[in-house]
Amino acid sequence: MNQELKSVLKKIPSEFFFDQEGVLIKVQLQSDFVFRSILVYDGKNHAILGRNNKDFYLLSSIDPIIRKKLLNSKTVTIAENSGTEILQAYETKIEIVDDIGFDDTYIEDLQKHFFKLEQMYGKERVENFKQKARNALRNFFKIS
Amino acid sequence: MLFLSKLMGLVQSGAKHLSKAATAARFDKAISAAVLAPANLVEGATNIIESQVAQKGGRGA
Repeated sequence: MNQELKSVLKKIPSEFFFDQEGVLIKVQLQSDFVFRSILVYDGKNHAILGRNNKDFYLLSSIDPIIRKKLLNSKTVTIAENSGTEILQAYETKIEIVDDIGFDDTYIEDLQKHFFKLEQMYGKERVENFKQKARNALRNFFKIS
Repeated sequence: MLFLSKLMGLVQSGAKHLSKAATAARFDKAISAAVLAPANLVEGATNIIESQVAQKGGRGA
């Protein structure tokens, strides 16, 4: 990872949504009025939101459905939030690049996620949960 | 690898501001990736692992 870039990136909480129109991203951020922006993405677990040529934010934990949609979209909707209130909402272009420079830790993250769930609820319950979630996903895509 | 100079050069596009109310309404109806995340974690992980194995010539992720 490029150290100069790493030194200016700020990690912020983000949530990803999607609908018929495309991807929406909710970020917890209170900042100045945005007049220039870009979302830089490399198809993996992280994206960089650039604002006004001076602020760069790292968004992470991008799941597979969102990854595919981002790669096939030209723009994305960003909502900057303070708690639950939207402070500013805007559409920004997506720039696809080869490599942002972060390791894709998605597998390690999800392994930790399921390990924690198994510790809390036991393996059998977690396996049942995974099966229900798998079925829900398949049903969701049949409907849409 | 992405460098800071290139990143700064990419921030050229104007941000198209949207109605906060309309955007909030859109979020209310949109599907949260977190809701589907458990299924994604299972389905997507399998795809990611398979593609990583393929990239590394079958030597394992």
